[in-house]
Amino acid sequence: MNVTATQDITVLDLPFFDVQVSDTTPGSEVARLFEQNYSLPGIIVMDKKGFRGMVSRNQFFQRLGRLFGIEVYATRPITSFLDSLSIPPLLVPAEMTIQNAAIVCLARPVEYVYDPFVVTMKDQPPHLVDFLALILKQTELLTAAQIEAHAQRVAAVSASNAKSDFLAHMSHELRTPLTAIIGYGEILIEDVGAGQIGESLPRLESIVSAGLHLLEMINGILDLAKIEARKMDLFLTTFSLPDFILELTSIVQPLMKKNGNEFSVISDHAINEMHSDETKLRQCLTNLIGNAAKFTSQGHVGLNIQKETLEYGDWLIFQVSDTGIGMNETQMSRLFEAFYQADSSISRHYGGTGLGLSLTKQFCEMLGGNLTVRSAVNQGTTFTMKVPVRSKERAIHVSSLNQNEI
Amino acid sequence: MKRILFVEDDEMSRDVISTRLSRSGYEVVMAEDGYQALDVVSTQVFDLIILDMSMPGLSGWETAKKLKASPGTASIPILALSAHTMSTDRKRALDSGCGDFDSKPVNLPRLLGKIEALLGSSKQATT
Repeated sequence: MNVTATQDITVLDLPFFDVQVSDTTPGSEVARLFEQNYSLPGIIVMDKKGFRGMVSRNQFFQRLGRLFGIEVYATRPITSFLDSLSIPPLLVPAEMTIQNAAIVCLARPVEYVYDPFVVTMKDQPPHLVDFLALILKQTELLTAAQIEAHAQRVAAVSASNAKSDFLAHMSHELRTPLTAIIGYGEILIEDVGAGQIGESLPRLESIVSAGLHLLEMINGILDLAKIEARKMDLFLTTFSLPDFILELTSIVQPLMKKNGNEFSVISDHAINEMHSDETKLRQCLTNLIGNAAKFTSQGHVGLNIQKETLEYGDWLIFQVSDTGIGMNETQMSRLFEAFYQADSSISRHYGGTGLGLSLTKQFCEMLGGNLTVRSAVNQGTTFTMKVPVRSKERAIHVSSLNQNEI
Repeated sequence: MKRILFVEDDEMSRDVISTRLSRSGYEVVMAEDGYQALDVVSTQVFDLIILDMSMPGLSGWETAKKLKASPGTASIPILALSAHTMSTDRKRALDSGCGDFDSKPVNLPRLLGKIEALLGSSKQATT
């Protein structure tokens, strides 16, 4: 429940009435004021010293209707009405919450419970507030709190389900390479025992490759866990962007050979230096370019770097585009989920842990930026990574920018 | 020699487990997914089917249902073998018509025990 917001709302936020009369005003004049304004719940009475009392519409007309009521209350000054009341008016300080005001109002004797109450403020004239306005506001706040609590419950259940899904996936993804490692290991033990080691080499190679895959996955899972526990730190330094791009190119160039792809870089030279986490930035771009190379054959992978100046600072736009197999909208909608690969056969054909894009997106957001994707089946894919030229230690997440551009 | 159809999409798991089953004295035929498995059972006879559950294309759950719904294959016992090891995964496999469930990585003596139990019970059922 959003308690803070509810507690911030005080009786001062309620509509009020400030019709006042002096203590010498005759009751008939008060009756005329009430008749002129049917929504007026009460009138404040002031004397020379200040606040003298409150005339509630209910109490006043009830007394007028009594035997000799008009003679007693209409012809004499209003103070004779005030003196007939058995309790003083309820005075509520302006900073009292709606909830507490409702409690004290409802605690009044039953014949006064529907009366308005007086809100007092230091150095200001008192206001009069209708009891009904208070109760309506209280109901409104409770309804809002209920809706909020329901939404939070739904979100908590959904987060818990997502966590269970993640664990189930993780268990599956870790067990698969372990099946190979343990199985080949046991086969090799049998072979060595029988003195037959002829076919061992490919099996040993499989153990190593499954082990490396497992290691990559464990590192990815640890990174995600660190990010979630907010233990992943940014290591911000100022470095040369041209040098960074040069180094990045030398890392990704070998990835192009496997599928016979061409790689090109177009860079806006307006920016020389950037202040960011170089390692994470490199990891993000290596991952995006590596993915592009994996899903493109005999095609082109491009990295385009542009500067964008907005009112809240300078940004670098890294666009990684390919001419590869692309994705449909369903595949794109789940792309950034951990362990989600557009098709489970993808990890077999294309490799990868299913964690890279999830991590890349999280890193971009840690740097204060965002990652979006545009793609269509057989028409290639473009990832757009937008990061500030100068990242801050505690990055502000621009969540509205994080929607996929589908 | 008992004939086992082993359906598994992961290449290394397929190689490892089929090697171990062959060495344990079974004749093993392999299929890479559910569709291939349905093709193979239409032309060959098997004593047991070992089925991976999460496979692309036709999943293990769907394959098991189809095998159990077809008169020609309904009597072949199916052993679900999955890296999904939550209790719900076991239940889902049994609900799809599998006779038993085992988890990956494989514990060979346990797997062989389950295979023998299923082969034994199917013999009783057919005699």
